[in-house]
Amino acid sequence: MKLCPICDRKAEGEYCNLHETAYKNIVQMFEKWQSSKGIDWKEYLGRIEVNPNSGSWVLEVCKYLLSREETS
Amino acid sequence: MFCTLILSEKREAAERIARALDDSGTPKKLVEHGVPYFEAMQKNRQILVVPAIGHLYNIAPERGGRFYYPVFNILWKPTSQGSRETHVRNWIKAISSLSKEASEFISATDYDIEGEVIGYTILKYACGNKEANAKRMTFSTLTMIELRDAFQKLSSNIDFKLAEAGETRHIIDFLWGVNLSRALTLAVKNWGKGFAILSTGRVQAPTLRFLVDREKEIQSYVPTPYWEVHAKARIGGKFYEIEFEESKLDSEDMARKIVEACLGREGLVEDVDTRIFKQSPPTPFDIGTLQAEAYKLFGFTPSRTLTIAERLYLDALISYPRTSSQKFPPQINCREIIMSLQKSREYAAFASELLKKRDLKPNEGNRDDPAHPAIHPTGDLPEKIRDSSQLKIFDLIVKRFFAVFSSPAIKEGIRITIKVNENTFFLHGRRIISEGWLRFYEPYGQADEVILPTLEKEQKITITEVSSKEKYTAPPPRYNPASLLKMMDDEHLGTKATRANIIDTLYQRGYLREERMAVTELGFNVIETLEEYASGILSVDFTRNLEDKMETIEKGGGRKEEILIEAVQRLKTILEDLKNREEPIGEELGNAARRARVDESVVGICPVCKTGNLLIIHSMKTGKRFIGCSNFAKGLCNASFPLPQSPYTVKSLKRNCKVCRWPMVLVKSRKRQPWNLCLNPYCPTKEHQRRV
Repeated sequence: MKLCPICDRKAEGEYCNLHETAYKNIVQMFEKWQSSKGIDWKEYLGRIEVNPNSGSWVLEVCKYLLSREETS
Repeated sequence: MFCTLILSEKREAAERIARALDDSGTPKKLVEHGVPYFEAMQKNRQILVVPAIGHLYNIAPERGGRFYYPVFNILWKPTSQGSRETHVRNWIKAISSLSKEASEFISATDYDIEGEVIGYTILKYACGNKEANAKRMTFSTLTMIELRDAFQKLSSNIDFKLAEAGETRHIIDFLWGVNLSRALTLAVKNWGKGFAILSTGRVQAPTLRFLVDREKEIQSYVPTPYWEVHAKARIGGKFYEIEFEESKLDSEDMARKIVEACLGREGLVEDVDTRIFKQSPPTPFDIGTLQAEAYKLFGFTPSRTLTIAERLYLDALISYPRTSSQKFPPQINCREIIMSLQKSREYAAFASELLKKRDLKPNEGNRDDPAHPAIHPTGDLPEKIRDSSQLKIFDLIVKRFFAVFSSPAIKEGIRITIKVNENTFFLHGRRIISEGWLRFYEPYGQADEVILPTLEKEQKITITEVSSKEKYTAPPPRYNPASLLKMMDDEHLGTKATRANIIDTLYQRGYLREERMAVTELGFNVIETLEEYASGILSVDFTRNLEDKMETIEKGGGRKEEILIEAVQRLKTILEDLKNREEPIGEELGNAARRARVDESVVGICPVCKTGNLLIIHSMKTGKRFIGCSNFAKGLCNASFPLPQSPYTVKSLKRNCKVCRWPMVLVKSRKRQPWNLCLNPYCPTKEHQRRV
């Protein structure tokens, strides 16, 4: 059984359904951030990671994505 | 001598009934099997008024142990809840014994669905099938006048339709609650790697689902940036904030251009739009609006407000609070109530002003309840109230009662349009022309005036500041007890009598935490598992439909058997689904319960080693609890701190001390107010204690 790399729950795709929803929202909102602030993907993740209005699953996905970018 | 037995729901109500009916106004207080009751005398008639203690009988399984399921064979049994069991048995013995002396039976329990079931079951089981011949005494306040009047106008029967509707609700809620909760608990038990008592129910599950859906929105929320343009104008030596026509701008560039275009420019008044509008008085309180208002004003939870309101009702200060009505039927003499309230120094001025009106017409709401009017004061004044919470609720009810009879507030709204180099800004003002009901509802109604100077078209204005501010969109707010109650009401989930308890149960089961109703991981997992394996439990439509059908029994349209068959058939399908998938359900819920237990014991990051978690640990050796670091087992940190022992309970607060930033716990006991304890023995907040 595939597990979510963030929380070890059962994963359907890459993440569990909770982190999957958060990931999809992150991807969806990138365009808006890009058009209004002109920033790239990595900077975008960094910005929402420190934003107090970001949901906790969004923060967890951001952390995970950023750590993956650093190791790759 | 002719003996009448009157059944009441609570001791205080029994005493008031006896006092109202006794010729001398001083009934005897007697005791039978340790149960207090009252003897009132009327010429050649002896009236025994016996209180109950809520439900003396409840639905119970016919056979089987704690984990036996499915349960479909049921019966009414004396309520058994630990130490209350013996108490209830004595109560039943007392009522049975007194019923032998009586030749007439009257049910005077609260006139609503639960009250009718309480009276019906006691008459049937404790008095020996006396329900068919018993009469009904109905009243909405416990004042002497109304009680005497109710005794003169007895109904020849108890309300069988109401009792049947209540019985149906009890049976369905019991069957759904016990079977589904046992199915989930047994799934975890049979999984074999853990144990957790889990519960769900017909109303509980769809309610929790609403909360989970909202929590999902919050936790997966990605904020987006927007910009606001702020400007200040100087008018007649005073400064006023003026609002740009678009409250949110999508790009920083656009905001900057507007700021640049307006800086150093003069404003020109383009339009002055004045509107006079009426703000109608509020509608009378039903229980839902009272609970919502008490939460908004005083922060009282719905169940606390209900408890306080019931206390005020038993003291004959207000009418019966469990009502859906927002109307005052003509038989209530509102003028007389206001005249009585006039005797109070605090309310005299308002009462006198209202009494000058020839026609007292309340601003009634749409909701009605055939059993009870909207919540209102009885006119009796609170001599005995010492509790400040009771005083607050009483004052709120009295002032609301005054306000609904008052005239509308008349307000003037002004919108001044100011052009600054082709950009439009607005200046908003509000002025009260006539306070109307707002004055009667002080301090609960808000006047919120913003007085503006007189401005005319084409007038020039100095713009002193223009700036833009970057902001971020915010997730939807969490439900609070008042908004959840409103949502349940809108969705027809539960009844006015059960909603507050359902919210409490969600907390007790560990599905929710904090006042702002954050769903715990356990709450999430229960809903997720049900969504995956038995989504029928979560159907709001089914619950709402069943609720509506149960109401038809009350109105004489629906049949108990048909509704029970439908509910049980649906339940059987769900239980089969749960049984067939018991293994994965048990594993998922078992893991969730384990994670929830670990999460509950985590207090925060260890301030000593900075890497481990501080945990609440119970020593196997001594049975005592203390705080220890999770890195102790690895030999990396031996930080430990003492905790208050039983009878105190300790819970992680999941937040740090504002002064020293160390983790904190919440300590509770029955006798003292709960308090927050910082784990740092040298926290500056403890300086005083150390000196002592």
